[in-house]
Amino acid sequence: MLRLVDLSKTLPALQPDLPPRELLRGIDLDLAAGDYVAIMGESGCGKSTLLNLIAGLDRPSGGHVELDGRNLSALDDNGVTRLRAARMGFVFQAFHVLPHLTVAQNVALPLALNRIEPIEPRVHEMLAAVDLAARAGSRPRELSGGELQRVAIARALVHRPALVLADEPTGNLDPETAERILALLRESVVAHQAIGILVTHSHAAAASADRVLRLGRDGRLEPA
Amino acid sequence: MSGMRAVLAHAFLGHLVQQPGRALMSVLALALGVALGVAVSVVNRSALDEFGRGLRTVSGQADIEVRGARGGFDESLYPQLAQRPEVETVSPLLEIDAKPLGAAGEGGGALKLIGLDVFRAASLSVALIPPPAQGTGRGERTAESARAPGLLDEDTLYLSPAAAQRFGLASGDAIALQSGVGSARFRIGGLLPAVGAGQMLAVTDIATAQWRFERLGVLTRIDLRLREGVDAASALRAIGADLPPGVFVATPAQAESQAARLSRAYRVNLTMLALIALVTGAFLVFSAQAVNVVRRRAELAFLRAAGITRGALVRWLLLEGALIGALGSLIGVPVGYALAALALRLIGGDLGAGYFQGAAPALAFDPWGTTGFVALGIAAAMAGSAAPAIEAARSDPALALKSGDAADSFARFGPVAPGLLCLSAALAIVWLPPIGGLPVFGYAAIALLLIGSVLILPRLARLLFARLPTPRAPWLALAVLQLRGAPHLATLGAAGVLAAVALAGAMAIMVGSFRQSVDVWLSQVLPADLYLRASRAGESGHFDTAEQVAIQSTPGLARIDFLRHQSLLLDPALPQVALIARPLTADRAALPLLASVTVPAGSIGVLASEAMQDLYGWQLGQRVRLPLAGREIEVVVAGIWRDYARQHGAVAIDLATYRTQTGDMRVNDVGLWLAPGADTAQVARALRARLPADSIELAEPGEIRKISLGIFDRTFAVTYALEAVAVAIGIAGVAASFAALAAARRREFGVLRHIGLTRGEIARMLGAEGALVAVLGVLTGLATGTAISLILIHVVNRQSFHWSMELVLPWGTLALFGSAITLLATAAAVLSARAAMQVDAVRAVREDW
Amino acid sequence: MRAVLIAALWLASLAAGAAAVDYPVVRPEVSIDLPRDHGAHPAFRVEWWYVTGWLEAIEDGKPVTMGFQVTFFRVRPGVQENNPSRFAASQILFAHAALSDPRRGRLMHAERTARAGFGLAQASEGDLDVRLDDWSMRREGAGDGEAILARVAGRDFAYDLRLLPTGPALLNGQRGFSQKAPDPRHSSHYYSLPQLAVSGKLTREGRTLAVSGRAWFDHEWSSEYLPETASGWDWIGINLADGGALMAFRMRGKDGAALWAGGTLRRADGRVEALGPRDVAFEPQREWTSPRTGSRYPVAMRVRLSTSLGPLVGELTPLFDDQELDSRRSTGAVYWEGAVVLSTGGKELGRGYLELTGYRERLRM
Repeated sequence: MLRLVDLSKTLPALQPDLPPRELLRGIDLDLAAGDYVAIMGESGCGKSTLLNLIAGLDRPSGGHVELDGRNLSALDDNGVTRLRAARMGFVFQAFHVLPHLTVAQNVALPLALNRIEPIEPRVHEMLAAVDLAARAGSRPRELSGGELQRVAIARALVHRPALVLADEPTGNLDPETAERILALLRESVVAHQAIGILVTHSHAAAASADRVLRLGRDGRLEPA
Repeated sequence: MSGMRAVLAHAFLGHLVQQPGRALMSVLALALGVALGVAVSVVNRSALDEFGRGLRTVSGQADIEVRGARGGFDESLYPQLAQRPEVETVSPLLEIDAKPLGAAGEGGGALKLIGLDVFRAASLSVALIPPPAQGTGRGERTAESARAPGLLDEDTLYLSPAAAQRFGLASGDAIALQSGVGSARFRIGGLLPAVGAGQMLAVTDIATAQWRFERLGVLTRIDLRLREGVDAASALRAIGADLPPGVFVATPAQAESQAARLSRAYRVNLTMLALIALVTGAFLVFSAQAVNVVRRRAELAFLRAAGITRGALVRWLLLEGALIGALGSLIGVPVGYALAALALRLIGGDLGAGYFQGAAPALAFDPWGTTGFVALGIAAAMAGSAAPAIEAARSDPALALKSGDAADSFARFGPVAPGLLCLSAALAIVWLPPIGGLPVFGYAAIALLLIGSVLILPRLARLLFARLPTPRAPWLALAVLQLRGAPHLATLGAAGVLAAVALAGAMAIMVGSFRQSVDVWLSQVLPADLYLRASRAGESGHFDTAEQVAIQSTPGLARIDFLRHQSLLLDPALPQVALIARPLTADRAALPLLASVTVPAGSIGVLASEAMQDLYGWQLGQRVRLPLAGREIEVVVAGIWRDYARQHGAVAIDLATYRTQTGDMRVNDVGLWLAPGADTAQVARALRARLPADSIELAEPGEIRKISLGIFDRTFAVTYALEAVAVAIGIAGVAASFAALAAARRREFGVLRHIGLTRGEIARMLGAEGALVAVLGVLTGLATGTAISLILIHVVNRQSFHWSMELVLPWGTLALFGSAITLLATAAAVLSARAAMQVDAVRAVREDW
Repeated sequence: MRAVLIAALWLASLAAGAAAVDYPVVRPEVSIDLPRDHGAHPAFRVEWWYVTGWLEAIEDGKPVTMGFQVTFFRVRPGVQENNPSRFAASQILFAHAALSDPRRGRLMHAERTARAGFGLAQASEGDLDVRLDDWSMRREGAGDGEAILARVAGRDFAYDLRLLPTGPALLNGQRGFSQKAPDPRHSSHYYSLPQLAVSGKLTREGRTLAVSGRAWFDHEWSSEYLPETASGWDWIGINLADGGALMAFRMRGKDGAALWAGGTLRRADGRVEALGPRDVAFEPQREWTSPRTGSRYPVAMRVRLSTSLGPLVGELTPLFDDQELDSRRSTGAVYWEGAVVLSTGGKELGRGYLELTGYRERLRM
């Protein structure tokens, strides 16, 4: 269960004579397990800031974020980090699969961080789910972009998080691969009964979500 | 075309300007290396110039010098030479290292006193002749009493301005100089304004010098000027052929080069240490540039994709390195001169080693040394940039553009063959003999060893990290996986640690071994309970027969050994050899013998120091000829002993034999053994009562040992300082490479933060990586350092200073040092992690190019 | 007597300790005993053997005339007398030689100094035998075979001369006691050998010439020579054309006026007359200013003598003006000494040497 309550973020003014910039304004959002939404908006409208607030990587100016009933603002940095490790998964535009780790080691990372045992079967199961069982021992540099993003999806879901945040996950992929990745992401999120938030400005990508929200210039989040 | 060049210049060199901080460390390290090199070079140049000036002050316009050992030769040689047809002017000289007594003598140091015949020296040594009618205007003097004393007046000496300043004396003052155990009192007649500001010397009349210092009939040197048209080389040969044993001819240039040779090995040693600082600086440039290339991977890849050839890329990156080197040199040169000026003022031209007494050198301009080190600074920076430049040129631009990480950078830096080749070459050349008395191959072997070790480091890193178990804690596991996955990147830091630890470790082992050996040696050469000394060897003090009787009749003494110090000139191209006459028959154990043979009946046996083997090729049991008292006597090398006091050689002969051969009954040192129950203080009092108390020195072996080790430590102080700088540069290199690598891995940290690693865990992860890298560097560094120390001990020291020593491994110190380096490296890594995380981890993840 | 000046200046800078030594005093009753007194008198403070003269030679088919001077000078500085070293500087020898060649227009000179000893420098007692390295002056033979041999080797010139006496020694002052100032303390033992016939070899500019000529020999020894009040002296030694000889000098005070004067005149017939302070006067006629030192020397003088046969007035004309000796760079001495002609009314009376000292600064002895 993810709740955004009257969430706002004001950035300090870039110049002393300008007023502070209200990036996000009174955002309220309730998402339940299995919800899969897309958030759209122009570049610089605050999509990434919203994502960071949800992930606990940034602190809101007003309101708060609750995940599974826990208020992120009430936790210190280490508390939020632990919550993130246990309950969240991330998929990035640039994949960010750790280069020195094998595919399996990358996927095993969240399990190790959460001390979930046994690791091997779950990694295997997860890699099989993203159709990469054969590449478990490979190094990231041997993989294609689409494969790398599948590794990232496996890594984001292997520890059964409550929330998966995907930031423009197909930005670096060709349309055909992108389509398959979006389908995989959606399937996986739903299969794990997680909440999925897909941040994108691609209408094609947004179309894969159940619901599309638009972050406006005024800092409000409204249905598209 | 020029427009293209401008764009490229901007692309490559512009970032030096825009982000000077990144290059700052490299520039500073090179500046330090160049500064040290220039400083050592300038100090050496200044000292040698001053030393040469001193020699030229005395030899002046002479074409030829005739010189013997310090003990001198018979004055009858003077008229013989004066009457030779090829000779125009002949100047007899008696040089004495006179020890000032009383207030002037405090602070030690002998005064170089030159006894000359003003009429003969006038045309040869103009600077040493007092200017006429000093003090008052000649025309104004009316009374006899107003006249200033002259050089011919009894007991009058003239001081160089530097000596007058050093001893705080002015014209008309009195000074007492030690002669035997008595004193010779002199009046300062005036100054010698023409003597250079760095020269500490005094001039008196030759007859006064002979009489007052009990050297009647003796000269130490004769300067000659040849008649016009006489061929100097043939005159040199002809005169040389007629000289008595132990007396040689040389041109002033030869004499100067011989004097320079006295300290050459030491000076070369210092220069090598300065070079080491520069080499460590090159490592730092390598680390920094390697990381720089990694960081700018995409940018460089883009330039390659845009059509820059591999060659052009390498050239631009080398130019970048050269610019860093030039900047470093630009800063280093003035700093070097400032350091040199400071060193000359604080510790003197020999940097504390005691080679150039009597000279206070002025800062000299050293164009060759300066340009040399500037060139070396630039070359070091270019060499440091070369490998990263080649790496950048080699990498596939398409791949570099596609993947954002640096995982495969430097992956090809793994071939071990060149490294093994270097190590084998080092092993091969280390056995070669010295060139011109310098351990050229020893130094080369050290360099090869160092380069070889660094080259095989990536392979060692791979082997070591592959064997590490993967720990359970995720941050630790990530550290190990990172090292395992990219051992090449790890070696960038480890190479710096290796170089620093190897050099510092080698020095620590060598100096530790040396000190231990000197300590043992001191206890061997000082077996008596008490030592009595008239003055340092070669100075003007000694005990005559009457004083020897007085010493012998002192109550409370069980045994007395008299020692006479003289010197021998065996080869005019080499410095003088010390001759030590002492009771040998009953007392051989007093010298630390390394080997000995029985002397055939009827032969005279002598004990030679190791330097005699190295410099004169003397072998155990060999018959050699010694010039004693103007004659040559044949002696047998009965033993080889270790002598840390005299690097140019020493020969010990039995005192009784020496006395029969020379008739010289004087002694300089006395070893005293107390009778059972006698009290040291009481005996010392009794001795002082019998001898002039202010001109003798009484010391117990413990004090001498302490003073000797103090001198030892002082000599090595400069060595330590240079070494410390090299280590500091090495550590700075490690820190720089960590910082830059951490910066390059910002995105990775961002991902880990997202995945759920806390800031602390990331810092710990980097700390663990740093520690592991440092441990690799320390272990390989210690191994290399031990090997280098063996070369230092058995090749460099043996060939430079001709003494052997026992290897002592100071495990405690090395362990402490290794731990400290590891700790520092860990701290540097942790700090670099914190710095890297200052940049928003979140943004780093989204930072796409 | 000029050598005194050079060596005195030199020694003054080298030693001042003379006060401790008792030098013998020059006494009128001590007579000169030759040949023994040709030798050195080492107990006295100063002593010199001094030859000046004119040389003639044929060079490139033309006759040339030159002046020459050679002096050996001995000093007992009164120092190091107890020093047992063989280098002890109890006796110092100084030699000086000059050549006045009108073609060159300047003086050439050379000098040597050494402490006596080691057989390299010595002044024998008993007869004239002084040597300093390869320079020497000694007497050999007796009667008609008697000769003084002088040998000098400088950088610019060298000569090897044989000087044959043509008459007996000329004892100056009262039978060789020559007073130099109103106080008889300031005096010397002084004899001369005028009208010496010269033959020998001269080498200069790499060419050796056979030379002949006339010379004048002085030997003088003393312990107290110059009074403190003296500033210099003028001296002449002239071989007269008629076979006679004239020596005259005056000591000048600080005001330039004569403190004392004296001389000796030997007539062609051999009669000798001593001249007292009232009998000798020097009157400067023309001054020459040295371009090097700025000193002004009265190089042309009128000499007025009162003799028992009436007044004798002569004009001194130098062989050439620049016969100044400038040795500021070695001994520090600056004076004029050169070949002169003595004439009266255009008629040459004789040839000899004029010495002018103390025209630059006061002398110290």
